[in-house]
Amino acid sequence: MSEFTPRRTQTKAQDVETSAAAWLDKRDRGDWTDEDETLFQAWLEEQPIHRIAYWRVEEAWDRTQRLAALNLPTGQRQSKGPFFFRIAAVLALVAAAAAASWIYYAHPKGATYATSIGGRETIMLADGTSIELNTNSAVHVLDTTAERKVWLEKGEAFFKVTHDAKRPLTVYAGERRIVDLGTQFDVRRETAGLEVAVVEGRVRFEADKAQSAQVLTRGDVALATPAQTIMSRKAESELARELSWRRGVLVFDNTPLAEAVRQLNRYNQTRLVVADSAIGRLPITGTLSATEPMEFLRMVQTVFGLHEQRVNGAIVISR
Amino acid sequence: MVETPDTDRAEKGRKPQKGLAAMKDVRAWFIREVLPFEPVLMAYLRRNWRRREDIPDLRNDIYVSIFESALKQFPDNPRQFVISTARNLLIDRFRREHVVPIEAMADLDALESAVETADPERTLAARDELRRLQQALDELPPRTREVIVMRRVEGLSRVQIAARLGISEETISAYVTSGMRTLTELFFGESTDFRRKP
Repeated sequence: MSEFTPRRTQTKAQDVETSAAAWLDKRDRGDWTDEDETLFQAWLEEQPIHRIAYWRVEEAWDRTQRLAALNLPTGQRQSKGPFFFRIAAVLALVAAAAAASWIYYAHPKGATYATSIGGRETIMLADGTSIELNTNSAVHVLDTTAERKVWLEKGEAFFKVTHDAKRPLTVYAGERRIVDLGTQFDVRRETAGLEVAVVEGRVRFEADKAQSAQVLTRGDVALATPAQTIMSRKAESELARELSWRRGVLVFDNTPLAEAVRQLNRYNQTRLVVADSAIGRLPITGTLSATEPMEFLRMVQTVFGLHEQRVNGAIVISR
Repeated sequence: MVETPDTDRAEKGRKPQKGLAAMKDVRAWFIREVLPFEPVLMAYLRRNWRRREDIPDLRNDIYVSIFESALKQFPDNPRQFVISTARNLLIDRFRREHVVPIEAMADLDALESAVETADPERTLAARDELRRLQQALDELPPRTREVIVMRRVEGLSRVQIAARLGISEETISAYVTSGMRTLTELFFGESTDFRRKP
């Protein structure tokens, strides 16, 4: 019943509201003439928003009079509470391309934990350390009185480590090692490489045996590919976005559709495919449950008017 | 002190009459049924529309759309009508911006429930209204506030105010215009956009 149709451009709100207040003032001055009335009526008729803006300011004006019933305290504006910024944690993302051959015989004992596509799981160690597994991930954990070792066999894990200098928690990912120095960090293995992101504290990152270790601190991100290790720094907000999987959601900020689809596919059996690169470049902003691709499709259809088509078990997004 | 005149209720579902009388009805309807949702609407827009400078314009577009429909016929369910008008306009805008604001879309549901549960009479209950008016007044620059309080609360004439403050009536006009503009935004929309302005 309220189908919206794009309308002609109307005067900017700022100007309209100033004009409305000026008319109100003029009417209150006591020198209102017939000519003023004619001009005023013409202004009201000019655009619907003129009338509405005038109603609003007039209504506010009428109501101020009600304050006469009260004793007006000398209003002291209350100061707004201080902003509390979230404490940053350490996000370590490590992606390893190389087959981690030595891993498999390096951890004879301990326990293996794995998640399926779309799954998440938190493993708590006896000392309070937590390991959060993202979708389609697996770790093997060796937790003894002498040492704490975790092998990230695939996928991504977030580590919140209770520091113990005597048995630093060490994460093995392919050829690489990440040693906790009191920290929270994220490690992700992908085909392209290994990414380590530090949210809080520090870790020592050993990209390969030949290279000397690097210490990563809060906000540092290391991306290790077979060819090289690229260091960068990320803002807290960006890290928080990358770690939104811990809340079961994906956060996009002007993310190209193709990248959003790639991320969603990590979490879902349903494969989404973008039909062409032009569609793939459409920017997406917002937060979405990682495991609800159909919801994502619905949004994309609504906003971009795109269509979906089932082809060989995948869903193709096209014009 | 809550105003729920029975005569207003009779307007629902019928056509406004032609002419000035009709416009008076539409005004009463708009102020009673639509304006109380402005804080909810503005809060929604501030959460979800990145360019803050657009927000008053978006609100105005929504208002005009509602106004034009009400001229033809008062909707039976004003709340539902406000929501669906806002929803349609926002989807249209998001589409034009070529952005899929998933969060905003999900948040539309939140807007819906906020509007559903907001009770216009309660929202503008007398005591709450006075408190908000006072807060809005407190946000004004001191001189501006003084002029408006003298004129509206103390009931002084403009000549008296001019004499008391030693300013010209032109200056009073400037204070009233800028003050009322800001006060309106603060009172109805609790908009922070205007706090920076003089």
